[in-house]
Amino acid sequence: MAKRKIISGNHAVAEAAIKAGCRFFAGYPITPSSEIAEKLSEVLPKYGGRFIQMEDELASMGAVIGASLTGAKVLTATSGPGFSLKQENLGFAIMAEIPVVVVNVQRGGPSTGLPTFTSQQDLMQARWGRHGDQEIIVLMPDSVQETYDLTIRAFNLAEKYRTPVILLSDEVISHMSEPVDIPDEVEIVDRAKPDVPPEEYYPFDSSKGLVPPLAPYGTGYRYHITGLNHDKTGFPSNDPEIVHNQMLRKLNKIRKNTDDIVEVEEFKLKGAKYAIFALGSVGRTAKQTVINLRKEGVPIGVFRPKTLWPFPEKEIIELGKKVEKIFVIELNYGQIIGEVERWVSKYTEVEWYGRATGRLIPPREIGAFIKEKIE
Amino acid sequence: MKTEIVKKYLRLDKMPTVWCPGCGHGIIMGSLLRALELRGRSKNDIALVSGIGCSSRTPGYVDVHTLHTTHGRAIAFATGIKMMKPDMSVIVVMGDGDCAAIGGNHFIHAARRNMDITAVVYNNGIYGMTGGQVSPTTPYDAFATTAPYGQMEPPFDIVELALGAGATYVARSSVHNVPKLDELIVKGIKNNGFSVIDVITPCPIAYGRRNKLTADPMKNMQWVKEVTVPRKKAEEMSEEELRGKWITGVFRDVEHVGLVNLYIELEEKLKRAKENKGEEA
Amino acid sequence: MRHEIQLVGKGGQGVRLASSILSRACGIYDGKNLVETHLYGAAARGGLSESELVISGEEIYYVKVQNPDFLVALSQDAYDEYGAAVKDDGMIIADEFYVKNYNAEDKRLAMFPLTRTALDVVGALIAVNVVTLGVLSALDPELSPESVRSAIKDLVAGKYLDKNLEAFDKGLELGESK
Repeated sequence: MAKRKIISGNHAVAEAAIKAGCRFFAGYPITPSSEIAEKLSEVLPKYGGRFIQMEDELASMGAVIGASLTGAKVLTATSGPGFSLKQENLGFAIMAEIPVVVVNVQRGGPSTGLPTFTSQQDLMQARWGRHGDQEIIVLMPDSVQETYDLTIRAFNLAEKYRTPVILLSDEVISHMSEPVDIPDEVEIVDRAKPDVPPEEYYPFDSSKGLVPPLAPYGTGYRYHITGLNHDKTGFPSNDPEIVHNQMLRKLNKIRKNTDDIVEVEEFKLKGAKYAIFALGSVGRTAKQTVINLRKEGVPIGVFRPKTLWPFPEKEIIELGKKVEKIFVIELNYGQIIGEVERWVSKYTEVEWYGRATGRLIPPREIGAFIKEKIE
Repeated sequence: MKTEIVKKYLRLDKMPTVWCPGCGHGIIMGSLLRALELRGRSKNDIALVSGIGCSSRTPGYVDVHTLHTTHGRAIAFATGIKMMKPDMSVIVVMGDGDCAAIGGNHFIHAARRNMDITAVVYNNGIYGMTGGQVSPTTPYDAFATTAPYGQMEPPFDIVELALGAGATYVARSSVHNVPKLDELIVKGIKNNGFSVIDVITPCPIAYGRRNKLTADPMKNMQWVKEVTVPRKKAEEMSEEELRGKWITGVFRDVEHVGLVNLYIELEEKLKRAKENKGEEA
Repeated sequence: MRHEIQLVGKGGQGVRLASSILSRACGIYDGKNLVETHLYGAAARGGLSESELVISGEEIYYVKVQNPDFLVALSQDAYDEYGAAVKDDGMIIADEFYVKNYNAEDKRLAMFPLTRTALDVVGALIAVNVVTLGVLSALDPELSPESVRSAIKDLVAGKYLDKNLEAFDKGLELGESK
């Protein structure tokens, strides 16, 4: 029997993290994400887990990577300015292939911006905030329930693909409260352990597939990890062929598994002539807009990726082939529109509407925009 | 015997090191390996963490759990390891730039929270790997590629910094006094809290050549001897005489429960409270 | 049907607790869908405190209140800033003590001695939130007074509970008298 509870999005992250097996959190206070740290500081020691408030965002990102190497499932949470600071060691985790979950509760930016108000201005930072080529998994929830479910999924994907996963929430989703059904049992994925003795173990061994096992510290497997480009043993290498092959494996473990990673919600799209492309909290607004417009006879639905990155290329192309227009609505000044156009402009027209004033755009305003564009 | 110890802990297939002729880093690494042997832990129970720089290449050569992280952040990574593996000996090696410039915040906070980590600072007063830029411990008036008219800023005293921030074991030695260095590192690892061993070491190529020492290893080693003064001797010297010198010795060695152990105590307390509650119900 | 309630006051009037109680009453005891959101600010005390509840038997999409069915205004600012958006057939429950300037012609407006009742019954200003919940429960057919009472029992600490339940009952009486 699932247990029904009313909790905020931030508390849903904390509860789901515990459920997913998270036993270490390091963070730094920042609005609007601090409730995640507050809750876990109370709860973690009761589950044999450990919490530490570090001296800054850079350190908290480093600490979770160190803890993950011991085999623990780890979490850190932040918002805009802190997310900028986390990029350095997030890049390290991508390079060294360390499972970590990072929550970024989006607020208005750039810089200190609007600390207590929502935005969707970190869509591209989540994708490209670090230097260098990389793939990254980014999930975006549209409700407290989905925050709970996607937090668990974030841990599972991090473990399965030995990679950082970002849960990209926003101030509205993180602070609002809704009833949530807390399931008794959830699917839990643990990282692969070595199937060879220590002397035959290599932490970046491509012959073990796209995701080589990561041995926890203290289990007899001694190896080297570096942020430098490295060979299968983990030691630095600048041999072009080795660099190329390791880079390709790291990219392909995500690229070749997009079918497994990508999740999309389609709302009233069957037979629709138009579609709204929306993410996270805007997905809720988009659905209300669709309900309103359908009452007026407009055949429209919503396409909402729960997985923002890797981008649902295949799914959006399919949509582009079916509808006459896609309306991209976002709480910024034009970010994901570029990605949508990249995949569908060959097949359909794309219109954009958005702003980042800290508030959600109401359904009637979006409805008016759409009607103007289809008349 | 000493060679055998070094060989036991080295990844011999990774030799030679990246370090230049006359560099003191290999001497510090030798001391560290002997200290590990004296401490007597299994190689599987040791983590060696570093940031970026010449010194930070040390972990690559040592056959324990080794983690070569980002510039200045080694202590942060080490903190995560220690929190989840309290039984492991966690050692951080870092340069003076790593420790006192880009990683300064992590350094003072690890000291404040008495994190059970041993920090060995390879202090050569220069950014060697990037080609000889001025560092936070470059001596006053010394020359560097970014101090072509001489360093105008006073240097950071890493020992004073560690003491002020609350480290429970603080010592300084140099590569000129190796037996002492071995001893200090062992003590540091044994300390149940944050330990700092500041090691004065020469960089003939990036520092020596620009500061009238040439690249000659012997001249640079002589310089290390000249700029380091044991505590006892320093007590009899005037302020004028001590200008530009690094005082060596043990500056603090106290017992104080570190953060990890406090956390374990908390967990046990919560567990007992839960059990008691269960009995009542 | 989508039903919207907005509670607005100053920091320290217990607006947040009142909205948590309503959420629990509707979401747990009545088993309805609901979304509770707040306006956040940097000031921890004294500033505007705003809570929004959207309640529905169906799925709730848009999460913010647009045109409230009920507005509770515990301060002059609350009435001035939020009164206009209330539905034509909606209701504004305003506190006599803090809301002095209002349009007496406004059919939506109902004035109550919320603060005074809190002081009379409990002897503490903070109880104004529970008095208000009583009034609201009596007047809003979407709310079940019994569910709200159960939620108060869950969320109010033991030693304050009796006084709070008394304040709630007093609020119910006030509401029913309208």
